[in-house]
Amino acid sequence: MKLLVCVSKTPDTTSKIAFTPDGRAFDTSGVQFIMNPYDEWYALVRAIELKEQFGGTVTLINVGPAANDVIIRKGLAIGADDAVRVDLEPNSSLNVAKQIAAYAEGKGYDMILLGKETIDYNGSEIGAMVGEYLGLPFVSFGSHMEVEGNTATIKRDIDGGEEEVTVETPFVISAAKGMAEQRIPNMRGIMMSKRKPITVVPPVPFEDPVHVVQYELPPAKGSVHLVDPENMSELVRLLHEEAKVI
Amino acid sequence: MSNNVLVIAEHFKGALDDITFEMLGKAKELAAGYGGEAIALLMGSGVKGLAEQMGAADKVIYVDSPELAEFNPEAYGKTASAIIKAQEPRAVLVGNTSMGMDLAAGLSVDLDMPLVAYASDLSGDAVVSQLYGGKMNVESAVSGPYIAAVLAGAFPADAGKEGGAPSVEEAAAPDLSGLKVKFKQLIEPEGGDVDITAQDILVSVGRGIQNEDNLPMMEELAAKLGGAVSCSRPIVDNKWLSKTRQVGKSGLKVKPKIYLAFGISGAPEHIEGMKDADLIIAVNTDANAPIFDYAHYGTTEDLFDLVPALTEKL
Repeated sequence: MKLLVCVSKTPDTTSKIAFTPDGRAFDTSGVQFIMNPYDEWYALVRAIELKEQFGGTVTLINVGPAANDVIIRKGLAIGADDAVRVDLEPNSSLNVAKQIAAYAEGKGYDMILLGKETIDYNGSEIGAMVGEYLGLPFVSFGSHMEVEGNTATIKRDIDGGEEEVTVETPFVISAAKGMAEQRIPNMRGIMMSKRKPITVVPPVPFEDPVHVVQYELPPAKGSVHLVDPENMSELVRLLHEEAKVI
Repeated sequence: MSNNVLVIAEHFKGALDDITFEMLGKAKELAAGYGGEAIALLMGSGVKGLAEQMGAADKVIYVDSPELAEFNPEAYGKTASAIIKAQEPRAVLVGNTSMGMDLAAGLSVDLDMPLVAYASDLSGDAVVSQLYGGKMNVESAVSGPYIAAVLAGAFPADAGKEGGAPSVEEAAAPDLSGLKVKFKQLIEPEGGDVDITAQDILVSVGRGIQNEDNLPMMEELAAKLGGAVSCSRPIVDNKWLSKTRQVGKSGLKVKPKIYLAFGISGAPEHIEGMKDADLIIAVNTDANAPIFDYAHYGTTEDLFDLVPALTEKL
């Protein structure tokens, strides 16, 4: 199987959120970046499992600057064969999807995998957009996938439960928890990753229709009545009198 | 392009979801600003009856087809795309729900309309979205027609529930043969557990409880209050509680009299499932946790101090 896995860079979940003084960008100083966990733990690992089962290749694609090579190398250490980086500081989902689709077009990938969302923007947009650009079906939030011949049977998370769907290759799938188990790169993988190629390609032109006006912290709290942590009896009183719970 | 605002209605098991009314209310306001109409698009099988429940819309367009009986992103996407192409609305509103997001991104590319997700406010050509699970807002300017994926609970449903007499028209479904994604079956969470949607009091726990061993303490509090324990997604992901206890977008929508949230930060996906509780009390050591935006009462007291003391006093 010829597999393409889209990987994104996100701030570590413990990062403190701050902006540049003009309020138009996310302040990245001192922020630790990681590979988006949904891309790494679920999409990439499932792709590697499929390669182990059926043979083939796993290629990583990232849209980002040279600084992202560190994150791409980790993916190679986990087991991807090679990687492509589209040299562009991404500014919107649509642009990222356009770049991925432009690269993948005509290369005959059986499956394009990615995480269900990035842990920063949580957009869940790229997969559907890539599918649409390439005219491929897209299945979102896959938590389990079995492949037999050209048919994949996928369990996916939906509001209030799960459903099972089937789809024929080629297709695009976004992976949720359950799709695979995280793999930690071993020493051999890390050594080998240094010799695996990262091909840098220039971006295709794209005019973005959305412009960020400004970032801001959410407005001050609304009508919440905060109870002093030292004043437990006040909380009990509230439960008694206001909430009439007890 | 018209000055109309088109809402993609969501329904499940024969009833319109709240998000549909929340979007309709906002669509009316936006359309008034643009000088156009609010149009609801309803897709499904045997859904004409639902069309009449959307009195807040100026017009309801419904597409009835057996291929649309179950939500299939491909079939719904093709249908919505055909209608939107014909209507040329100024803005399209979809829910930032699993159904809405399955449609929105594909439509964005197909129709060449920019998509702004996690929208918590809309006015004219500006959209405010939440990022980082509500820790940050971003305001975007959109030029030309756009699609906004609207967060559940961002707008009141009441304005969208107003009565009225919209014109109802049926539109033909496009050719839906040869769909590549095929629906097989719905897998509902296993039964036999407590039904959290039927409880008056929920003691809901999140990542803040840190450890599975802390669950009995919460169970004890719930028992004393005469309620049950529910949870946010990380707890189910860790397999500490079953999926039947999960509140939120990928879990269940609950509407208890009292919702006590312990160690739940309040990501939009969770808020969607519990925002309609009559009384929300949040306990979280992070004073900036978004849950406090939705709570009526809150405290930053450490739950490990509070819960045993509270149980003791009850």
